[in-house]
Amino acid sequence: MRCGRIQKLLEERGETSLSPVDRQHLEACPDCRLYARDWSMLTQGLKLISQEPIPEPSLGFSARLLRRLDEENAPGFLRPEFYENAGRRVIFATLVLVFTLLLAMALPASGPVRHKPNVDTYWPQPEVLTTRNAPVYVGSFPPVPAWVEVKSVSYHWR
Amino acid sequence: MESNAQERLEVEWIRRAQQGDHEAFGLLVEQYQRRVFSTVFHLVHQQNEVEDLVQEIFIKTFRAIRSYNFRAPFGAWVARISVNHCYDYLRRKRSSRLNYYWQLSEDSRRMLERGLEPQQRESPPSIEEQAVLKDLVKKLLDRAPAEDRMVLVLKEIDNLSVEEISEVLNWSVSKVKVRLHRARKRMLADLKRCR
Repeated sequence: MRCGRIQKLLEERGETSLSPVDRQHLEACPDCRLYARDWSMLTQGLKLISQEPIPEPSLGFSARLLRRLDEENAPGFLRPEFYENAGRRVIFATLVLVFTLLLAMALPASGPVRHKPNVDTYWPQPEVLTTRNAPVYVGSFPPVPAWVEVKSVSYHWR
Repeated sequence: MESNAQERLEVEWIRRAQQGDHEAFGLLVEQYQRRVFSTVFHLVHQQNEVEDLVQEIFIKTFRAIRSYNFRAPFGAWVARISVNHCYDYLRRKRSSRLNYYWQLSEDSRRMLERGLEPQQRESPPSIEEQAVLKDLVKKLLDRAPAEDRMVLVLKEIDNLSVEEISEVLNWSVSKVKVRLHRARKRMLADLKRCR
């Protein structure tokens, strides 16, 4: 508990801010001592970095900047963002197209997507109904409308 | 009195720049370029990249200047654009998590350790020790996540207060404090791991 408090104090205010009791703890506790050493090393390094000379803007920096702004405002100039956005849209459209094609290929050849659904009304087709040891009746019941062509009506034995 | 006149002048430049006046914007650039150079240099540490980045920052500033509403100081607003731009740059150019510490020569490492011994701490470090230490801390900063680096640079190198950092990063003061503590801890842990 005390170690955490002392380490936070070291970070925020430095070693000089410690009370005599905390300082005693710092001397006695190897963890806190190591922490103080590392922290002092980091702050020294950061301080050295802050003292480095900052690069000066080169001669005519602002003139070049203003020229670039003028060029950008000239009619017919398309900003790089335009190309970026256009490129993004093209990629998105291509992805959607590829996805749709893949989906279409993955679907079975029959089914509601590929074929029109059958007409709701069901007319019995002339088909053979078989049951074991029983005469097969190809029915015309209910009555088949006149326009349905019935090719053969016969009894079959199996 | 003089600062008031300067402020009024600055407001006039900003208003003119908002109407598309490049000349007025040029005056603002002249006024803030050193500050932006300093922030970018400390965040990026790439001397050859600084000028390009600063130019991009000012172009961004000009494009966004119409949205500036005079609530925050103009300097803090520009600093926010600079920091965000550097943040994007750092995320793009994320340095690899290679351990640089072992790239220090054996002599340098020994020198560094010797310079940090308690009995030696009273005497100022030699120029060689300073160079080694600066190099190590720079490398640790390069390895740190972009957010840690930003908050540490603004606090420890640019010497901004927590309140100023909160204005620049658009974070709450408590968030800045928490992030700062976490960034320091992470950097110390990184240092320990290198040992």
